[in-house]
Amino acid sequence: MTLDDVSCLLHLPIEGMLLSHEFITQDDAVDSMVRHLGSDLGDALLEVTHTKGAHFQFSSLRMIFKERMLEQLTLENEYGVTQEVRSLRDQAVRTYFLYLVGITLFTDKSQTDVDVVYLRYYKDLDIVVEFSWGAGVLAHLYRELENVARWNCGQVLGYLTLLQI
Amino acid sequence: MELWSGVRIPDFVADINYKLCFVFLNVSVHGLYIYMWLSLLQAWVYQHFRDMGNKDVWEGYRENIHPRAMLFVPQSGLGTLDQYKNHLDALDLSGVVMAPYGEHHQSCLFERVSLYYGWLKYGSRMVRYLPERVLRQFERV
Repeated sequence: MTLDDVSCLLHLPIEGMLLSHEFITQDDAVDSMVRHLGSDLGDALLEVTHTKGAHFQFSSLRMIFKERMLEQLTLENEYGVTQEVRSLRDQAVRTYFLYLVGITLFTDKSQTDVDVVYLRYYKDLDIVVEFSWGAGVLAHLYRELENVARWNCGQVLGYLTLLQI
Repeated sequence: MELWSGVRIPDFVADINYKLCFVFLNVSVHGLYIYMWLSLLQAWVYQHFRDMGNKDVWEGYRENIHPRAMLFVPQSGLGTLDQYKNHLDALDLSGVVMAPYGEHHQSCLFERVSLYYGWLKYGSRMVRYLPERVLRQFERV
């Protein structure tokens, strides 16, 4: 599969900065949730404790999205489009994108949560499109396929040993 | 635009950055297509191997608007592993589509970066990217 495949099949950008991030700790994750999604510190801590890692549950993301949307709507009706409304909207959009990459581009074995590390690409919503999402997806897929092959291999090996005994 | 659990995404999201939203939202415009993301691989298989799996064609597909992956509505697969093996054993060149995107390249231009070869980075991991092995896809052979 080539970048051209990804581009034609999904229309994701294949040019731009590569996605480059390291593993993040729970503390960094909490910090990032509070700063970019406007989460309550207590809620964020509860979230990482619950998921036992720097992860965010899809159910919580859905809840946050709805909350931010309602908040911004109420504020807008009352005071018009203020700075606060804009920041709430940004938070809603980030939540939405985090959810979206979690269930589509970068799915992993867990069916219920997404790694908070992707939030770093949504800090500044204007430059999201400058990342090469297509290359990221392709690299992720290559890697996963490699894992699957190796995993099968291990299984067969284990099974044969068992057979010999 | 209907999103998960009946939440509608409002227009202002589309205002933020048209291009950015286009990139992400066109993936999710049709709720139907969200769940089938395994899909990148699946769509790739459908594109390159004509008789692999059962699929329907989505009649709402427009060549110049939608990503090619949306052309397919997956039905059941071939069934058992043996059937896949038999299918692959019987596969010859006539069953493989080397360059499936002919018309589509009019709306989604071919980018030279596809011909880049070397390493791709994702997170802290690197994988090899070797397009020179599939030159036929680029209609250069």
